[in-house]
Amino acid sequence: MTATRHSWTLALAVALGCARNETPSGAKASAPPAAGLTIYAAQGGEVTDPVVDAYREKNPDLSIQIIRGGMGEMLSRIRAEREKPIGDLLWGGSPEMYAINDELFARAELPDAGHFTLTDPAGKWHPYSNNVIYLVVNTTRVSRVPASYREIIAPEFRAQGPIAFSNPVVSGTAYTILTSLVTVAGWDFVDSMLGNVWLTDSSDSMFKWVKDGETAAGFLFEASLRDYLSSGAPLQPVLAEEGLITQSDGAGLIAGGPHPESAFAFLAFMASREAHEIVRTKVGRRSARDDVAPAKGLLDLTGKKLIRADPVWVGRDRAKILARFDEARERS
Amino acid sequence: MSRGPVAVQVEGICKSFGREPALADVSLTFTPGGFNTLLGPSGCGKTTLLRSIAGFVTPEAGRILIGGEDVTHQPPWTRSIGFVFQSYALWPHKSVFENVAYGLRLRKVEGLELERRVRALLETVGLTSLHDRSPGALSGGQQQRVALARALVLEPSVLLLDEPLANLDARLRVEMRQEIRRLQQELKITTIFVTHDQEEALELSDTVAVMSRGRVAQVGPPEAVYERPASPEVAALLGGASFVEGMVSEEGELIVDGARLALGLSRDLAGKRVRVALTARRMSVVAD
Amino acid sequence: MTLLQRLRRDPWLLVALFLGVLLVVLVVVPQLWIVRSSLLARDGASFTLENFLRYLTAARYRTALLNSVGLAIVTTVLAMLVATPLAFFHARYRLPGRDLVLTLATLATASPPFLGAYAWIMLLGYNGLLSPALRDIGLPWHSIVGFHGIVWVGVWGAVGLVFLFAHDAFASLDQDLEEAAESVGARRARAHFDIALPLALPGLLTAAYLVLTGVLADFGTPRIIGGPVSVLPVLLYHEFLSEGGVNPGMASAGSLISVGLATAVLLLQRLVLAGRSYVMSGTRRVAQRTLPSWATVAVTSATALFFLLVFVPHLVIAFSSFLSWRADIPGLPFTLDNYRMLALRSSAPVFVSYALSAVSTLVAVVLGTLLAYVAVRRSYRWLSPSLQALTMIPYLIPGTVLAIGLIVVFNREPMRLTGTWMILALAYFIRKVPYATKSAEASLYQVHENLEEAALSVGATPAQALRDVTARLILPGLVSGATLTFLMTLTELSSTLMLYGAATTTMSIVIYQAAMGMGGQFGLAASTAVAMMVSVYVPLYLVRKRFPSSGVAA
Repeated sequence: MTATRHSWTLALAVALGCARNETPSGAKASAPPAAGLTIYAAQGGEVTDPVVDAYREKNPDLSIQIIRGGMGEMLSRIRAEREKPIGDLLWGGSPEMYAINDELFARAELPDAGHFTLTDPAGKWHPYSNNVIYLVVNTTRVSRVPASYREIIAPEFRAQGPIAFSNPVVSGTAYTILTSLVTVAGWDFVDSMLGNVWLTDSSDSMFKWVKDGETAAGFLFEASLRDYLSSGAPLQPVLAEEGLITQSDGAGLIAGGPHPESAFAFLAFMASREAHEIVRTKVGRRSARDDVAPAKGLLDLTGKKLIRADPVWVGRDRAKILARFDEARERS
Repeated sequence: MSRGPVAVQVEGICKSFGREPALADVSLTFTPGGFNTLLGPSGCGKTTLLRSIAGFVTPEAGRILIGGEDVTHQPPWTRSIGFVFQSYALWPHKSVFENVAYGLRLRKVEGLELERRVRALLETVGLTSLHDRSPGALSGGQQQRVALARALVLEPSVLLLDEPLANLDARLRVEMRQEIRRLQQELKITTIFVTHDQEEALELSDTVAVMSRGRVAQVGPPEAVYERPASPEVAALLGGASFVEGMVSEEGELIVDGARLALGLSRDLAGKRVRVALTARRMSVVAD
Repeated sequence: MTLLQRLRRDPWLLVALFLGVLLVVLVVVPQLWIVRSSLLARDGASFTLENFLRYLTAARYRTALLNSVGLAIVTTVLAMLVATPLAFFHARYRLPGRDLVLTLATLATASPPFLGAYAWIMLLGYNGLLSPALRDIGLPWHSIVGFHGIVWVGVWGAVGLVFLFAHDAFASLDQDLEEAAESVGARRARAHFDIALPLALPGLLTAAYLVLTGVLADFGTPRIIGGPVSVLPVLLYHEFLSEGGVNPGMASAGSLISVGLATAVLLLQRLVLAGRSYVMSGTRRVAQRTLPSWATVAVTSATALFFLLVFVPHLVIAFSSFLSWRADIPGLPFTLDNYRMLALRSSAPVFVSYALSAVSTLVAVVLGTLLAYVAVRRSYRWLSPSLQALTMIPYLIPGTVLAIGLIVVFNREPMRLTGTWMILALAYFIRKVPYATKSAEASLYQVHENLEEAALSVGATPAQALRDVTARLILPGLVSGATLTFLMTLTELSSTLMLYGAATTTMSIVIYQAAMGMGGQFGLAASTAVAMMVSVYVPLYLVRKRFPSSGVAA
């Protein structure tokens, strides 16, 4: 506890130090207000709003601005704005994304760090939710729900239609899926799958295609699947015998942001038990905290087989993995 | 006119558009207070010369002198000119009155003084009743008169006319050119008139400058140019006209060497000795 | 003459110089970064052409390039084939509802472009409203998603423009020319083909060029309805914004290739038109003939079908705005909730769209008019062609690319505009300068130079002549040109996507985010789309009523 408090103080001091070094230029109509917070959210409103609203209630004088976009878009903005950042924190993305773009983020040590199932040793990525990514089939295209990943490369399945997949070169979600699939089914599987794939640079397209039945199968976050199912979408998850793919998403402090204090405070709130109860009840996702139950409608994972790709391999060999993927793609 | 007629001269004017020279070393002295015509086929440079004198075109070499002053590099709005365009160029969004008044307004002439001067000009050209019409509602002849009034209201040193009669029908053309001549003589303003029509040149001019391919082929009074063309080229350009002298009879005939030519001359000329230019197209041979 | 004398003589020279400098700073400089980065190798240290070559060698890039070119050609050819004959009949023959037809065509050109994709998927996607029914009755219908979908949406999105240009071209023809052909024995149809068509070529080729470059740069349609078909603009967007790290080299090279393609098409058009003479003796508008009644019925029916297909997306979206939406699946009962949400939560985007468009349009029109004046009334030896080229450049640069250039340049002191409304207004205004200029040029051509010279001859300075004569006379044309520019900025998407901030979210962003399922709400998107359509169509309709002869085809 003492160590944690120390590191918290240290982090705060660092954050404050950053604030002092920063010299905001003359007042510009567009600059963020002096007491404020700008969040770059690579997540939809349904994910962020309940937590943000709760925070607003606690801090009514704080002016919070949220700018939304895809993960790639947000990273680009942060990169382009590096000399004088506008955003304070980035919400969304898996740990690899933060590792790759390491220089854009500041380290922070949050008080609740100990409660999380997955942490970032560099202290730049802070977990928010764990998500199962299901292989999903559209029942208007597919007669029988497969029981394993391997079944989708069989000729009988191929005849029913293509598989939607996003490009791991640009999508963090796809990268997680790829590394998981390679771990349990090998590159041969991927090579074969790519022969019957609709590839997109946008994960959102992948979700949409399988939901709309443009493809026979695709990959979908569990929360989205639940929501689509409750609206009557003709989808079924594949509870693959090889195991389920999981991805964690989180948030991070943008290096050199205009309001590091506010950002840190928000991050701390985001990691708190209180916020994660909101994740369970209002956001409807699986909290990354070990002491909070998953939201309603989500599969209870106890006893279920989860795929764990080697994190060292995933991080260090990223370029090689992507090159291999490209190669497989060229051949298909 | 408070001052006397103004002398206009051009010396060594050269101008090209692209490769072809439009004007090649043109020098002319225009008769002060007189009706000077630039005559020639299309492409001969006459309009370019006129526009140079106005200031719309800047020559590459040479000088333009108005009233002895070198205005070659002066912009048109500082030169004392009145310009009548072939298309009249009346401003469609202004009334007849306002078209004429605009130049005065720019000079801060207002109120009664403005009215007086504008109305005086409109009367001179015979358009008083149409002062609040818009140009679109006028006939060709009327538009022309407005253009003239506009050009003259500022009492310019020089009046420049660019084929003003070309867009009128034949009857109106004759009528208007007499009008213009009358005005010019009354006001004694140095006038430079551009045309390709020999008839006009012959009837109106004190001096004719025949131009061809950017050069002056011949300058002189109309008869001189017609009867003694300086080169075969000039003769070819003018297509030949004969001049006859004789007495005008009571019935409007011309009596030449005993022969009576029924030319339908004006009764006003009866008893006078006149010289008539007969152009080829007016004549036909008829068996007796 | 000294420079000072020259300037005094012709103040427009100074204006032209100023415009040139302004355009260089705003248009060329931001794109120089792109040129530079396209030549950098991945290590960022050496220069190479590798980035360009990979567009031919690597499948990911080559496929996108070939798809884009293929789509552009196919869409253009089909759009021309569909719209040109119809426009011809309406121009030359007496047919009912001419005014309505022209109004509808004008509305069609101002439609928000990505709405089409959105709506056609709703109808004809694999599980769309109509698809299961089509399959039930035995038709081998699969889905509209794919290459054919992009073409379909592209064609119906472009035919309005082609129709207007073609109509204008055919209606201005000198009838004598065709009658001359008939008098030497050509039958009516032959005369049409051999005389009318070639003479209308300039107008037709301009339309073709606009459609081609439009498809090459189209971001929204392929993104939404393209399925696995990758195209250049979407590829560039992802290359610049890839999560896995920034790869500006490939994206920059791709941007330049896009610009290169558009330029090549422009040059091709100029080449085809250059060797021919289109001077006609009369400018009399062609009198219309009548068709036999069976033909009138046939053409009128075809026209009705034509416009139905053009406006299907609008009708579908309007309809869906009254449905209840749950997580992007529509259903009954009918409701006004989407509009309530619009009024309560989305009034800001509406205001932002309007304000931004108004400001940028104003600036674009002022600048465009100055540029047009220099282009029409003056031909300086070096300055005029340079200005003309500079003015055209923004047209050739895809919206995404333009935005990135601006971000890079305007993200440092003292000109720090990123995240503000100003950078968006700047992007809009730069993109619309070519249109504003062309529109002003068209108006200026109709004001004879003599009218200005007459003013000069009575003592007006050029400024006074401009104010008292020219400006008054081109005003109606400028107003309608400004209105069209305004409407085009209202529906802009590709630059906005890169430059918007929380406070500067526009209507098109709201709609796009919903269409892409990025956690937006479909019902709200539909009602916002309807608001956008109304915002566009009502002013357009009014302008057309007020200035019926204004050339959209300018």
